[in-house]
Amino acid sequence: MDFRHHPADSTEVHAASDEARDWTVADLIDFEYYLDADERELREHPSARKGMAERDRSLYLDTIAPEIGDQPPHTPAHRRFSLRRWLAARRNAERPEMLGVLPGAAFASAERLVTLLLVVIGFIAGIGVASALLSYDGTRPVSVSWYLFLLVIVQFLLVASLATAWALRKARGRGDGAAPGLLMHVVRPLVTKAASWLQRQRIGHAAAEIQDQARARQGLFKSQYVVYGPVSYLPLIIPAQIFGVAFNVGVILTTLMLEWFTDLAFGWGSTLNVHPQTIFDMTRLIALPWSWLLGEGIGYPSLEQVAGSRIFLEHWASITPTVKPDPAHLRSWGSFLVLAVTTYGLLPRLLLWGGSVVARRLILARLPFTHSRTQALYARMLSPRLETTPSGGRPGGERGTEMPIPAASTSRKPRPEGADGPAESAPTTSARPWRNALVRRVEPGDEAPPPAPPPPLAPAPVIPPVVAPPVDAPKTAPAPEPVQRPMLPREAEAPSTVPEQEIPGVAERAVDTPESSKTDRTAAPSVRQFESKREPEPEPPAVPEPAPAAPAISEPEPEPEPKPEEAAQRPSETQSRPTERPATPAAPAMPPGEPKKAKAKPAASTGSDLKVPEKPLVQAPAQPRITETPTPPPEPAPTRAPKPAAATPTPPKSIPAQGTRFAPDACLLLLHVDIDDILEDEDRPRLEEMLMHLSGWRVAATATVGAGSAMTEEALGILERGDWQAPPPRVVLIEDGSQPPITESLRFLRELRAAAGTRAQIMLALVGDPTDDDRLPPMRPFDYTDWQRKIDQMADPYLRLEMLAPPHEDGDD
Amino acid sequence: MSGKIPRLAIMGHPNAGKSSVVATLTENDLIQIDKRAGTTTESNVYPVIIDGRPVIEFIDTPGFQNPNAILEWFQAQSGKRELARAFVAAHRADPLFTHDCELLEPVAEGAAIILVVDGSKRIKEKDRVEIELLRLTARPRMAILNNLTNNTRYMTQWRDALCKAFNSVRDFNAHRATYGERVRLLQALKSIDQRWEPLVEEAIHAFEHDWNRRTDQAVTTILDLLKEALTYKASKTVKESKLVFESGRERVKEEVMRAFEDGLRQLETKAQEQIRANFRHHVWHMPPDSILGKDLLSEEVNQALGLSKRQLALVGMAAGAASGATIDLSTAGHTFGAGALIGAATGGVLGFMGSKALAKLNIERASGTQRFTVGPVHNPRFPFVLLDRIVLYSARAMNWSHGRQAAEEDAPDKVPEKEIRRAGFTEELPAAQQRDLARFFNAARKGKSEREEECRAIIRDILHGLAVSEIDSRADL
Repeated sequence: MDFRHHPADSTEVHAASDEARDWTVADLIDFEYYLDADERELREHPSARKGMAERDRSLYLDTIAPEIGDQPPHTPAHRRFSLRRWLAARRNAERPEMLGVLPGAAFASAERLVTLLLVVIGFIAGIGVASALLSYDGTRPVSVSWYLFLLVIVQFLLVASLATAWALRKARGRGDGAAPGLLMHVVRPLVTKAASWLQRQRIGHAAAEIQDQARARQGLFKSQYVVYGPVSYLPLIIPAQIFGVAFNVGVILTTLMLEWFTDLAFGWGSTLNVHPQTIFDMTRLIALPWSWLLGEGIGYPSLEQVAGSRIFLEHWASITPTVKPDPAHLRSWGSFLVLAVTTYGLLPRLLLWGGSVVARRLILARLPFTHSRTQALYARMLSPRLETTPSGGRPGGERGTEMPIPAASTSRKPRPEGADGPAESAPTTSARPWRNALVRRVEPGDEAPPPAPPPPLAPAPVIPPVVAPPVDAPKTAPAPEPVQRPMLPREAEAPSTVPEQEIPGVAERAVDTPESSKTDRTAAPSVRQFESKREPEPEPPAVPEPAPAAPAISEPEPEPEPKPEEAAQRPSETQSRPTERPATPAAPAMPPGEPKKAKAKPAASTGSDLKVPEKPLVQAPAQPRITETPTPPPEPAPTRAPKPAAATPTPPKSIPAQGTRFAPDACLLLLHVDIDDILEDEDRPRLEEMLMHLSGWRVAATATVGAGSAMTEEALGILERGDWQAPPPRVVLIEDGSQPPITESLRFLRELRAAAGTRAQIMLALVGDPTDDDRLPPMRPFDYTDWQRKIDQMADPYLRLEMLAPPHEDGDD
Repeated sequence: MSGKIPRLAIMGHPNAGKSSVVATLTENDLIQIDKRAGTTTESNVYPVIIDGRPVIEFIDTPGFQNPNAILEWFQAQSGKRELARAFVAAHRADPLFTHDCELLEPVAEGAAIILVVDGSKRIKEKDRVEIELLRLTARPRMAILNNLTNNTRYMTQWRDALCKAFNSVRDFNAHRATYGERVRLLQALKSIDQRWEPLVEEAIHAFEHDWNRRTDQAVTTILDLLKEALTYKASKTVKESKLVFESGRERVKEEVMRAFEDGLRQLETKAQEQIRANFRHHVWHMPPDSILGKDLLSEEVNQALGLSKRQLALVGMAAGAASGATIDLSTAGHTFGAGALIGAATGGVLGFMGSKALAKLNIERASGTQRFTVGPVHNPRFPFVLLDRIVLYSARAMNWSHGRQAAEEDAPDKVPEKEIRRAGFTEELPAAQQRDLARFFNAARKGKSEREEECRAIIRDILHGLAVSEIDSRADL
């Protein structure tokens, strides 16, 4: 066959072998070739790793795993099999023209070619040697000794030395590296040459552009005899054995032919005085392996025949053959020689051949495939492919909108879902258990918001510090303490929810309010009452432009708002609400009932001080805590001053009806609950001082915000109800600047704006994250800019953003 | 199918570190993270896909914008069962609630919740509101205390607050989380919902597999780097006419030396890039005083890494003894062990003396030209330094969490990196392993491979120890 073409049938062999589970040497070579190619690619393009991992993993999952059954992974069998199937898959992926050019295929063909060559050469050599040794011209018999020495003893020694070398290597435990024996140095280059020649031939046949020759050849050379221990030299031993077999076959056939077709005379001779008996014994020894089958005279010559075939040169020298040798004796060696060559030449070779074939098969079947390159591949196949790339977001892939900025509203609208917000307030309050828990937790603890606990119990001492500074600082200071008291009641009135039993005075009042708030229905009105209360206030007393405007507008708004949402859920309310609402502004008459309540409250709470409101504040979002400075009353102050005293007995009506009075330089302080919770009493004067510094305003009233709509309502209520001496209201909102602004915060600002009027001065003062020594620390500039961006987007010209405390100068953050 | 896989919505208020957590968990540093609030504006799904099949989905959500409103709405609707869905349905159209709808939508569709809170800060009203409203959604939920600072005083408070409403509460520093911590967090996901166990298990398994594969890959890269660096040579052929003056000769020497050094640096950089890609890092901050930022051949690096002189001498002795022993063998034992003694002596001396020069300069003369060749490196210390440095780099790549891109390295009291120990990794290896390494280096210089598998195992052990934090990663080095 023509080895230069990749035989068509060998493609079939490949195709068939692709179903194979066993390895051949050619497979190994191809395998190494592919590994090498992969590795080179990785080295050149490290980014190819991912694609490679994907390829190998899907190969494994798609084709290998189903075939492999439930073999546990990481066992040698599993590894061997999956790698073999991987190779098959890789080969199958090649173009058919490529198959022949693969180094493994080239090697296989080369091996076949070399083997064939060796067979031919061996056979011819055998014939040559045998016929040379057996040349008989009819005068001198063929020398048995030469024949035996060259063809039996030498051959046998070669085989024996090879076997012992092999055994020795085995015993010494090496032999993985270089191939043994000189022979390998002959056969190996031969195979290599043949293989590369074949490959070149084939590449030439298979259109140049199909495969760049260099790559194929490099792959071939690099992977020719790689690792794999004995497998690397077994392919060389086997052809050598085949050569030996062919040689012996040649010898035997020639000998037999010559014996059959010509008349050969065998003889032996020696210069030494050797007794034929010795020769006979040696012969018998040699013939031992077959003497049991073919005995004396047939299998080997008898003593008589040995003696008879001795050649004395003088017999031949003197042409007078006195002793004519018996021709039968001379022929008697024939079968012996054939049998000897067969036994000592052919058989060992056959054994070695078979042995090496078996050994190769065993070794191939036991290859561990654990060297690191294989390991990497195996790991790629077994490792689940892990991807964590996003799915690309939503269709269209457009970015979502930024944080929503609420639109400006000229009028105050209740929160969207909270059209019935006030109504909801009752459940809401009850649904923030932590507000209560906070207080409770705090009381034992030291570190938390202490406002609540001490004040109610010890009212008097606490108040002065809080209130005093602002009072003194600004102008008015008619009657700080006395005035306070009266104001307090007012604040107390506000809470629909009630400070619990802690305050005795409040308790009584508390009794009825909780009742009212028990059901939503009842609660709602109660809250609304506040509103109604507020509304009347602005109108009569201060009646600045903004104040009335706000409420006026507010009415229409609330109605539409609630409708859409509530329509579905609570139609009944929707109806009731509108009616109520309009009533509030228009008819101060309606609220009268409530004011009374309020009156009662002040009376009750007179005893308690500012702190009273705080208590409720903590518990329920609903309650506005109005820490009132005594200052509010610039003019009215005197009139009210007496009231407080009287308040206890009978609160004058005017007080409840009116909101807090705000002096021209006073403002409403809205404190976020987060800050309020941690402020200690001694912090409050400081806070007011800071505000004074920032804005020049005194604090007329304080409310908390940030824990639910009800609380917001209350706070805004104070604003709207407030008696503003110098019209545009002044509001300071203190928020925690360490948290980024969220829509909720901005929405509250909008609501505040709506409630306060378009021109109202609103200042947003931010505080940093409180620490132990400083509960009103400066905020980080970074957070400030964050807020600034958002506030800027609101585009509210009367809204001022400030840091409550000036930033650290050393700018450590 | 996709209905059954665990879907986890990562929730929290803006800037709580949700995206960092997702980035770290999924090893994806391409997720947009910014220290400014509101970077995430829509819910992004980050699936963990194993063999093309999604196994877990992490959903990064925008922060709560109206927690109070949501809570109040929920409370008002307390009769309903699918609160989240109802809320989304009711507020879809309201622009003010886009983010809230966006973030509640996955929950409405059945995703479990992972609430991320900043454990370094006090519990605020908003936090309580969020906790409560998430409780009302009645989904399986877990809380992550993402504490990026040293401040642990609020942690117990947080725990108390969270435990009441969450199935499981875990600490997790998204900026420092190592592979081991990530896996532990994933393990905890199993406890949220038992039905997920198999899938989560599979994901964890895949993560582990993937990690081992990457570690092996890194080891290969490191070994390749060592082999390449130890055989690296730089040469330059110059005409003799240019070498008439001593200054010209000096200049050429310098040039060759520089080329040689640059070549080594490039080799290192290439290996670093491979390792970095291997561990999927795109974004990367290096502290300015890191040893990694220093020049490979600077004295500082040389001081900080590698073996101590004593160790080097011992190791050099051992490696020398090996070569002496081979001489012994080749001379058929005629020297009766004297070869081993001589070898040991020279090896030891080289260990001391050789620490000066990096490599020798060879000049070959040919007709009219001279060929200046530098290399390969024969300084016995160098390979240890190089190995230490690349391991240090790997440690950083492995333990640099993917959510850390926005970390404010100068933020006040962030978790400090561990105490600095000016010592390399190889210094702490047992002497036998150091000897193995030395032998490997010696063989590599000659282009042979000896003890490669042992060294592979040694390096793999180091990397593995780094990943599970058994070995200090010397993050500051």
